[in-house]
Amino acid sequence: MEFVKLKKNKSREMSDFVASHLLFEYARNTLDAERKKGVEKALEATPELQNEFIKLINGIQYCEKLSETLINDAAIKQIELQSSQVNFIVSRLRWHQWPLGFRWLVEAGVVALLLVVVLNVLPLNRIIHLNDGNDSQTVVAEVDRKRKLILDEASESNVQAPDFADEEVKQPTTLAVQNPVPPVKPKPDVVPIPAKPLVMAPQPMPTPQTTAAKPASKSGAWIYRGQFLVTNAEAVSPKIKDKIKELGGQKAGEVEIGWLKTPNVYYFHFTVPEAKLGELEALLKDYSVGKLVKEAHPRVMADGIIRLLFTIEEKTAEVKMDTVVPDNK
Amino acid sequence: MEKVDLKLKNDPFDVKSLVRPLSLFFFFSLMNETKSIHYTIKTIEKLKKLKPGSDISKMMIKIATELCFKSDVTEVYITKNVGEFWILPLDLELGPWKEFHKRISKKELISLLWGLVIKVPEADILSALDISQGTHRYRVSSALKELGSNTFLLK
Repeated sequence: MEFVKLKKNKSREMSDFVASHLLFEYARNTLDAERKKGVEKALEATPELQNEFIKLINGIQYCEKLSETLINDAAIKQIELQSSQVNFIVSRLRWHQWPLGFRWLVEAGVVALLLVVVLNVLPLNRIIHLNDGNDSQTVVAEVDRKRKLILDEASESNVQAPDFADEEVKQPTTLAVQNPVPPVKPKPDVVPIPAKPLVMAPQPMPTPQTTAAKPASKSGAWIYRGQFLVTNAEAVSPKIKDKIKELGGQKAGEVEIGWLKTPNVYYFHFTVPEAKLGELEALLKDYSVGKLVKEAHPRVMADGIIRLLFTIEEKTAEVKMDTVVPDNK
Repeated sequence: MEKVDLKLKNDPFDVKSLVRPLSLFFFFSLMNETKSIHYTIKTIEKLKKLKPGSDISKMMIKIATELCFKSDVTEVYITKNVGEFWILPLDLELGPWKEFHKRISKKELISLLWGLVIKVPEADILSALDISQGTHRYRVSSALKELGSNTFLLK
């Protein structure tokens, strides 16, 4: 068998790039002779490679030093101990060897315990009543609660629940008509007319502005307000009260019809069939020249029923009107 | 220094033989004493759960590397109690190592630690890290140059 004789080529010089990648092998002395020579040649020729090689050697020497680090026996013991403690507890429990029924019992107990903890910790009441927060009725109730303190003195006998929520007593002024929500103080410059036996406080008549407020309210959402100044209110008030009851009037707030709010001031807050309004106005005219003013109010009444709120006051008490702060009862 | 023999033959394995390589690995990779002890224990616990007959050496590298990747990079480097659990060589300065930590990638650091500091057999590293020999050597070489450049500047 004849061998083909190959032409011997010139050996190529190793590039710096290849030499750079072979430096680690060269440092570890794991290169074959030919490559070793190539790397050595490249190292001789290139100072940058020499620098890299020095860095590599430095790194190896540093790693050698790092590898000489020892660990204290105490550390080994601590690690062993901690490791064995965990293992010990797990092995001592032998959970998988427990009877199935007993395991289920333990699991159920753990679940029940967790439930109890969760139910106690979570504010479930808040979560359940989360949607109730938007209810406007709740807001009305809060207003009532604030005013209960004032009522306590007088309304102990009134155990029945009121048909309507209280509202503030308003003076039948135009201001009250324009903005029914905030309470308006009675005007201090009221002058009684001595000639007539029964005198109505001079009040400005409702202006056409009242009609502007009306379209905003719903149909049937009205209240009749008024303030009547009479002489001998103590005698007149029971008569008016009896007549109202005759007409089918029922109290609308927490207090009885004709409640003595302050000395010489009697408070009437009640509902009555709409058909009886004329009779009622006639009755009031007998004692006073006052007038009931119809105002818009957010509370909607049942069909055919109207709500009235007025005071019968002693004529002489009018002077003290400034100090009286009317509250809804 | 002798190469670590982690070819453990029987179960239950010797915990002592695992403590040194693991604690050194975590100590130099995380640079935090507490964390290194914690992760050493964690790795040992995981190794104990392996099926009998598993290659402990490979699994040790694999589990420890995974934990090292998952752990947060510590911002606070070791400053105290170094000599309490770890007895460092007298002429060893940790400054270059700290600097090296800031510049190097975790992969290169891990290859360097297993290969040149803890000196685990290369075959085990390749198998555990699932990388080729070339990749491993390239990483080690690159890491060594970086580390050497820090120490080079000091000289």
